[in-house]
Amino acid sequence: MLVQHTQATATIGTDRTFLFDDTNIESISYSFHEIEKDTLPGFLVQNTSSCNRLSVYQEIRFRITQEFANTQQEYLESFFYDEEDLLDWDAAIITPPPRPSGTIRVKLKYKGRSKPFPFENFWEE
Amino acid sequence: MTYPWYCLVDSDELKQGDILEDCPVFSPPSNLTPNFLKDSEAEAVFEWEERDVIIMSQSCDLVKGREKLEEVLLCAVWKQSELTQLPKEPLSTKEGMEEARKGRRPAFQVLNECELAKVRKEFRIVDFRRTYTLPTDFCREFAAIAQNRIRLLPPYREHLSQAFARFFMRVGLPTDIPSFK
Repeated sequence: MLVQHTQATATIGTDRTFLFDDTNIESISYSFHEIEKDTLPGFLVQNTSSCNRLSVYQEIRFRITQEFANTQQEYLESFFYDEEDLLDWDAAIITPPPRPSGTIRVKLKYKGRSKPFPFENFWEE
Repeated sequence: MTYPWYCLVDSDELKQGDILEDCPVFSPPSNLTPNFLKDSEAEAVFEWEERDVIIMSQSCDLVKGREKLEEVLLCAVWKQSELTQLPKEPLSTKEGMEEARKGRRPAFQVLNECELAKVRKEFRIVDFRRTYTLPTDFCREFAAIAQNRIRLLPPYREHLSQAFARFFMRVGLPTDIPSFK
């Protein structure tokens, strides 16, 4: 949420609201620490038009952006997935189950170069 | 930017899309029944032929020293001049080859002619109906001694594997939509 130069509100945390009015602009710089600790002068925490616009505008904007980023991170981490559902492309049966097997004697008979086989249209039933 | 179809390979490296020319393929006899195999004294005659084949196994499964396959999957490759010797067959005509080129013959994939400086090859057709397996070590040794071996390059290689998958995943509908005439 962006604090604009006109009358607007910025919310820090869950219950801190500042109303800014640029009718009486006075540049006062406060750190985040002071904002979070709510140690700002009382006149800043008033919803009257006599509040001064602070250079803390930029700090609040950063704070809002940071909170938004943290929220996004929490949102992304909230997705649950079971690692067992991930595909293992390299899964292999190293030792095949025992099955009947053996060796046979073979004679090899050379038939020369292959020739193409008759073709069919596999789209036709 | 040009996208060549082929490159020359001069090693025992195996990748999907590698063409092995005059590669031996073995055919067991039709009487090789289970009962026949139980006879410890049995002898069989395996016929073998020389055939151009193309590697269909994934390249990542064939990395030397890290093979994941003991056997390489191969498909037959026919030269266009070999197909014209079958006068009544669809692919022996230009119209048939055009149909295959457009992907309307699911069992076949046309490969472009090769016009590398050292190697010239005519148009060829990959036949997905004929698949073979040969030991990986055998294929590697065969590839190592092959002269002027060519390799199908991306994206034509991936186009081939996609067509291969398409052939095997085709589904015939029991009640199809009648043709629009």
